[in-house]
Amino acid sequence: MTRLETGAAVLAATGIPLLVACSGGSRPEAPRRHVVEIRAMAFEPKTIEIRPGDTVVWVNRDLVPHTATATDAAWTSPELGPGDEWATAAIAEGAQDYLCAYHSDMRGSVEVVPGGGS
Amino acid sequence: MSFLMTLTVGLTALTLSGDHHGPPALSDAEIAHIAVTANQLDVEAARQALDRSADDRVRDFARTMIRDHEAVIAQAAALAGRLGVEPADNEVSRSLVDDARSAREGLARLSGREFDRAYMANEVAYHQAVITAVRDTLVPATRNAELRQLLEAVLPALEGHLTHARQLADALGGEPS
Repeated sequence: MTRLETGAAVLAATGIPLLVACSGGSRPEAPRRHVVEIRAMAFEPKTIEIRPGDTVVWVNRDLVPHTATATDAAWTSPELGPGDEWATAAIAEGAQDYLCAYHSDMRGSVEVVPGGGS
Repeated sequence: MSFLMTLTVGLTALTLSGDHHGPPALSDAEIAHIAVTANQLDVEAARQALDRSADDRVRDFARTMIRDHEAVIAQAAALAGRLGVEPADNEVSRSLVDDARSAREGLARLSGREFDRAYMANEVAYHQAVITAVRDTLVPATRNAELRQLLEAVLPALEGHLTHARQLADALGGEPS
């Protein structure tokens, strides 16, 4: 038995290969939390990619109130004053554009992609 | 027509003074008062627009001016309190208040689309003058770093208001009276 074969036999005997196989992608990853900061009249980052079930948190670091509102009206934050934040995990799969209802030039996008996540 | 530009005279004079003779000798307390006054005057102009305009776009713009400028006033007041600075009335602030009164009186004589156009034209001119005054005169003259940061931080909102005001003024200008 070569040295390599010996190592493989040991691994098989200890069950380590089985553990490696189990962690190889079949187990779903835990939902993640993505933060979008609102600064200087802009969403940062402007575009994010997430997986279904992930949470997006908008945090207002600006001086004036804003909202994060889906352009198709599927969801909206309440008014976010300076320092306020709002989170949702209820964003449908696909690309979802959103804006600030008070400042319509402020726009962003959330792309919900199975297996994605930036 | 003169009332349209009166509101910006005080701020324009402030900027010109800075151009030709260096920053005017303003204390941080006076700068804080000018900043709060400029925000308050645009809130008052917006309240007049809500009283007189029936156009949803103009009314939405006015509500945004009230919401945003009141938020800035609240933070300026909080900062002044934290720093122990009492905003001090001064010649520039008094000039702004007098000019705003003249502008309001002029706008009060108008109604309908004529009012909407004049209000939006005034908002364009006012935000242009405020941006120039804050960026070129007030920020360089401010000694306290936190007050200077607050003035710098408000510039993107003012620029957003100016863009919105121009878009709306252009739209109203292209519509029949």
